[in-house]
Order: sequence, then structure tokens, then C-alpha cells
Amino acid sequence: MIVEMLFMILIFIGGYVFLYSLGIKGFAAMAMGIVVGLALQIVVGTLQIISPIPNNPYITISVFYVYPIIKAILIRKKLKIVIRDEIKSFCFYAVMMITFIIIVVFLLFEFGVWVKWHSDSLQYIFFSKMLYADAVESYHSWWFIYRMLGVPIIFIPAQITGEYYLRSVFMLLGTSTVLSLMWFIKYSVSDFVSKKKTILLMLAGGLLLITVNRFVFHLFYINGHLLVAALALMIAACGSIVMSRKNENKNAYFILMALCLSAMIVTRPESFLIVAFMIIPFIAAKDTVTINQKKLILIIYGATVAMYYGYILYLDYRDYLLAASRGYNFNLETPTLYHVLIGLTVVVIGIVLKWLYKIKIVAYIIRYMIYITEAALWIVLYYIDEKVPPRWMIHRSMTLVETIIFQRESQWQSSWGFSLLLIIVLIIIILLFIKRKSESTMLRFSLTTFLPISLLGAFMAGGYFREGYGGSFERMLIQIVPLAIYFVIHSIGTGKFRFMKQ
Amino acid sequence: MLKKFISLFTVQNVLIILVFAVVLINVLEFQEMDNRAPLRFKAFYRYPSDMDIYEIAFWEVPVHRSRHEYAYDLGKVSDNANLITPPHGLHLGEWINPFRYFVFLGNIKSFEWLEYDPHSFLDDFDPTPYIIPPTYEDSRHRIALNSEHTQATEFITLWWHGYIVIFIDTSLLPDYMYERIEMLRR
Repeated sequence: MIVEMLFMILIFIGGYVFLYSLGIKGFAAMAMGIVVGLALQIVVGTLQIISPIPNNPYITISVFYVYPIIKAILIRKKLKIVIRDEIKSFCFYAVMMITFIIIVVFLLFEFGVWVKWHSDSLQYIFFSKMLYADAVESYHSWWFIYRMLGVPIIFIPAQITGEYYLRSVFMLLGTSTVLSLMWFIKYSVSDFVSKKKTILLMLAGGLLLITVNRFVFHLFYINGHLLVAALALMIAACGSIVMSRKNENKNAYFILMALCLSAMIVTRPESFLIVAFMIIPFIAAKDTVTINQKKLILIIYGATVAMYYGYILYLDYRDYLLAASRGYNFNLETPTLYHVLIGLTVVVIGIVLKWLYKIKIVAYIIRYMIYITEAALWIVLYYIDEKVPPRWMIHRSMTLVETIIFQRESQWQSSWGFSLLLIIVLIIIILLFIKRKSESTMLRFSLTTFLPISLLGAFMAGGYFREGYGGSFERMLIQIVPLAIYFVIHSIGTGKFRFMKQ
Repeated sequence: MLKKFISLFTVQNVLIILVFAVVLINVLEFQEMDNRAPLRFKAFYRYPSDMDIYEIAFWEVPVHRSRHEYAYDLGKVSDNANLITPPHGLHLGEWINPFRYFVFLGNIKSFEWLEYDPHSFLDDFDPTPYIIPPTYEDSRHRIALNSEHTQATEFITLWWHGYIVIFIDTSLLPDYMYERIEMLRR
């Protein structure tokens, strides 16, 4: 209990101090502290795993504090003023969250908690154990391709005392996600509506999220979906802040976006694809995002993908050599080579982006990329469905969507109830009737491309998703729910009725 | 008064009311959904009592498997095959509880259909525990579980109806072990 308490506090403080060093303070830092702390842990942990640095969680946590410490040394004078003026607020919010963490961990350990797991959950735990043991010899590409590093890395501290996982991590992550959502709502709508209405909208967003049956489920469930949901919200929300006209500490949100983007890529197998589409509106933004920012985000995305999948490629090649030396057959057919090539291509595009903008036709394509991409996605899916077997993929997948949303009585019934359907209805109402701010494209695009991307992912994974309860698509849906809720509330707070006379 | 009341119904306010209506529906539906199964708290297991045995069976198998085993075609038991070592100094016989769990001995490959209909499997199958002899630990013989790592981890972690199902491919067992198990079954 003590170790878990200590690590959860360290993770929170790591994220909290990091946010402070970026200039994000008070309630915002408290709300996002755990999500950012976990993102830092995942990014640093990944670097440890693919480098010869030991996978010791103490090293991981220590690295968190490097940036704030360097920054503190660089701005010594300013720091004195900050300490004098803001120490009360800093301590107040930190103490609040630390107390909350202590209470949650204590309750979970003292009274036990229901936990939901299935074979995937145990594989995450097992992989975490393997990583903690630094069992490089046992690493196999399968773990890195299908289970990935996000969840195993956050469980590594539990291995110190022989525990299997951190019991409080998803509960605290969920809390942080709800608080972050509420804070993003406050940040985006407060300039457009009254104080009272801002509070009302914050409450609406928070309540809408915590009353979704599946969200509550994921607080107890050992898997990476809630983590991806939190990171996706961070990427889209921070991206939309950078894209907005508000000129307030944009660099900080840009850094957060880049951090969460890297963490998300190594958390779920489909993430590299989802993140790629998430950043398209950012790249296509007209004048609110600088070319340097676009360039950097492309390089960070490409480098993360190339590095991670390059490491998997290395593992496969190592096993191939070993098997060959012993006279065994080893099939080196690996799709990760394509990931590496895609990653490297994106890095190159990032490097030459400035020159690409000079070519008129390319600049034109970039500007209209969101429309081109969305149309292309559906065309590709149509082509796959028509030409490549199994031809019934889309119909099958649509049946699945129908099952998840509507079918409520069968043995393999959906687990969403009406909640998802109602959120979709809200989104459709917003899309039809509300004229939105340009930055909300960052939120909208991730939502409307989710279905075609998932279908494409299903095709790449060999056909279609399994129907009903426990199917990966059914579980993946939670990944966009916080983002969907943010989009709805953001649009209500900042948009205007489309048919209203000016 | 009426005018003032009507003026409250701006598009924005109506949308906010709609959001709260969804919240209300979610709350009302929550209990119903739970009863129907989706949240499935009833199927949740308390940590760690019900989890321990399962986990032991699970990761003590692959964690000690070296990458060599992944690289090789491990349809056979070789000298390099690794030990399944029960942790915490337990003996194998102690961590397979005969009253709640059973070990199925058979050929994993013939059970691919399980994935599609686990219930009929359990209905048709007599869940009498087949216990590996406790003396196994002393035998210093090694068991290699199914080597196709993806299948092995999937099948080993199969769990339905409160049973732990451990699949051990009998074709991988040394003859000596197989004979002893057969004796026990009889």
C-alpha cells in the first residue's frame, strides 16, 4: 500500500510540477497532473526499454523532474517571485490531490475492490513483470505489437513489492480525465458565456462522462482503453487550444500535445493510425499554427513510430538470426517494417515541410487535407469492400455497430445502453445546427474519422471486429467518449445557431 | 412573465437541457444495465484471492520462457524447454485447487472452436479436476506448454464460469509424466 501510495503521489507530483514549469497552474495543473504524470512515465519508460538503461521505475520517476529542475535553475529570479506569490495556490491544489490519492489507495487496499480483468489484462501484467525483470532475452515482438508498452509501464512500480498491478491507477486516471475535461470546458467557453453558465457547462460535461456505464466499467478494468481516452482528450483539446485565437501560453499546450501523442502511440496497436488522423487538422490549420509547430509535431509523430516499431523489427531480426544459427525455421514476415517506413516518411515530410509549402499544389492539398482525407478514407473502405475479400466487411462491421448501439436483449448484447446512441445524437445535432469555431475541427475530425479508421483497422487486423460484449471495437469506443463530450460542450458554449439571423 | 420564461429557451439553453436529459437517462439506465450484465460487477473478482491462482498458472509459464522458445518451433519438448516454476515456494499440487479448477489435458490445437462457443464446451465437459501429481515438483521433469505463444497465452488464460482452465498439450509431456497422469485419471 505504501509503495503504491508513494508512486501514485510521485506520478501526480511529477505531472503537476511539469505543468507548473510550463506555466499551467492551479486547478488546471491539479486536474491534468495524473494524466500528464502517466504520459511522462510512459514516454520515459519506453526510452528506457528500447535503450540499455535499466527499467527501474525509480529512474523513470527521477527523469520526470529533470525538466522542472533545469527550468527552475534557469529562471532562479523569476522563481523567487513565483514562490512568493503562488506558493499558497501551489500547495493548496497539490495537497488536495495528494489527500485524494491517499484516500483512494487506502480504501482500495483496506476494503478491496472489484476489479475486472480478462486474458488481455493478465497479459499486460505479465508483460509488466517481464519488463521490470529487464528480461531482454524474453522480449518477443508479439508483446510489443499487441500489448504494447503503455499499460505495462504504468504497472512496473507495482512489481517492486511483488504486486501485480497498481490498484488505484485507473480510478485516479478516470478522476483526472473528468477533472481535465471540466477544466478544458472552462478554458474554452469562459470567454463566450457567463460565469454561471460556465459552471453549468462544466458540470454537464463532467456528469455526462461519469454517468456513462462504460466509463464506470473502465475505472475497474485492467486495460489500456481509459488511458488512450485520456490521452486522446489531451491531444485534441491541447491541439484545439493551440489552434484557437487565444494567445495564451500556446507553447505549453503544444508540448503537452506532443507528449501525449508519443505516449498514445505506444499504448494501443491502433493508436498510431488514430493519432495520425488526429493531427491532420493541426497540420491543415491555416494561420493559427506556425509552420515550425507543424514541422515539430510531424517529426515527433514520425520519430516515435519509427523508433518504436524499429525496435520491434530489431527483436524479430535478432530471433531470426538465433533461430537460423540453430537450424530452425523462423518466419521474418513482419508488418512492422511498413510502420517504420511510414514513420521515417513522416519525419522527412516534417523536415522538408517549409519547402513543400512553396509548391502551390502541395500547399493547396495541405489546406484541404481534412476533406481530402475523410473522403479518401471512405473511398478506400468502399474499394476494399468491393475488391478485396471478404467483401462483406463493411456490412459486417455495420451490423456490429448496430449491435453495439441497438441490440439490447441478446446474449452478446452491447454494454453501452442508450448512452452512446444519445451522445451520437447530440453530436449530429451539433454538426447540423451549430456553427462552430474553427479550432473545433481538431475535435470534430477525430470523431467523424473514428468509424472509418476502426473499420480500416479491422481490415488490417484480418477482417472484422468481434461482435458484442468484450469485443475490441466495443471496448475501443470508450477511447473517444471524453473527446466526444468535450466536442459537444465546447460547441454548445462557443458556437452559434447556424440559422440565426445576425 | 411568460415572455421572459420563453426567452430562456435559447438554442444554447435547450442544448444544455438536452445534455442534462442524457445525464438523467444514463443514471436511470445505469441500474438496469447493471442488472442485465453490462457492468458485470457480479462477475468481478476480488483482488487478490481469486486472482492469485490464475495468475500463477498464467505467467509463471511464459515469464521463464526464453526468446529461444519463441524463435523455435516448439512443438516438441527439448532440453531447452523451461520449467514451470510455481512461485512463492508453492508446489504445483497446492496451486491447483481441485475444488474450483481443473486442468484439461489434451491437444490444444483441436480446441480452436472453443473461442466460438465456450458455453457448450463447459456443458458437455465433465469438470472433474484432473490434477497433476503433487510430486511433479520433485520429478525434475519439465513441462512445455503449447509453444505457439499467442495461442498458449490465450488458452491458458481462458476462463469461464469460475473455472480456471489450464490447457496442457499432452503431446508435449514426457512419457513418464503422461503415464502418471493417466494412472491418476483411472
